[in-house]
Amino acid sequence: LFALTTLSLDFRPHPSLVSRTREFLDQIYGRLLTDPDETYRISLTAYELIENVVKYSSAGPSKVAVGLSEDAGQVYASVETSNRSTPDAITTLRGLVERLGQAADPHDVYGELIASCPQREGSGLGLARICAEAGMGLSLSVDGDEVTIRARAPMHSLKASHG
Amino acid sequence: MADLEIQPISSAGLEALPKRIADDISVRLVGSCDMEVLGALEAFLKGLHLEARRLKARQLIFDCTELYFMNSSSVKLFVTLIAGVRKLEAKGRYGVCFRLNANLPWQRRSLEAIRLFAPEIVTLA
Repeated sequence: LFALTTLSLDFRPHPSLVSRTREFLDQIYGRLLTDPDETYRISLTAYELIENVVKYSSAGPSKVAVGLSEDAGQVYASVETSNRSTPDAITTLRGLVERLGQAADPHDVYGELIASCPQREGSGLGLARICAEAGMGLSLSVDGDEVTIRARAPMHSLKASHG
Repeated sequence: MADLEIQPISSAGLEALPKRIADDISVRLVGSCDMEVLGALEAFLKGLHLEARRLKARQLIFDCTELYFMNSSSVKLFVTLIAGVRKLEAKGRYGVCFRLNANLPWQRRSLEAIRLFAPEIVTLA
């Protein structure tokens, strides 16, 4: 596996950062990928993960890394965020990632979450949407109170000049 | 039908421009529904629901042809609006139609999930 592009950002969570980062990623990956929908899937994933960091990070700086890499001839996009969080938030997050990972179809989980979202504080839809709409697989690692969540999916439209 | 009494959203990131068309209320959405406009969008959709009831509208039409992004919190706001329609007695209900841009495939993915929540109320065009 080797990196084709990696963009990393260390930041203190702030709402104004979320949309700006998405717009920046749209511009960068719009130049690297020929399919605008693949670019959208990356920027949607980054937006939802960064918005979660802004909402749920407990303290301290956070990190986001977005990249394209190649593994055995296949190009993958990945989006990874790391931040500190509370035990309750980590338990909730772990449960949802496991539920999505075990689902035969993430759309089923997403549909269930949509049906219950009017009764919830916060939408609780972001991660399911990343799986169902952006077609990304999710993984989670926890080290103490630091949570790292990673989304990854194959991409098929890398411009030949960047491959 | 009486005049529509709701203020549009006019911010740097999103415009929501409502107007009456016969028995329908049409809202043109231009820009992005994201974290920065969430409060304005929530208030706007609540007002729109009240207006649709007051005016006995047949349908709310969201013209999304110039909508370029919708975050999950905004998805929840639209679902909440539709859940509000569902709670009404049958004779007081109105339909919700999203008019899509075929060049933006994400719209069908995102809004199909909303349609499936209430297929008796929501249509995609």
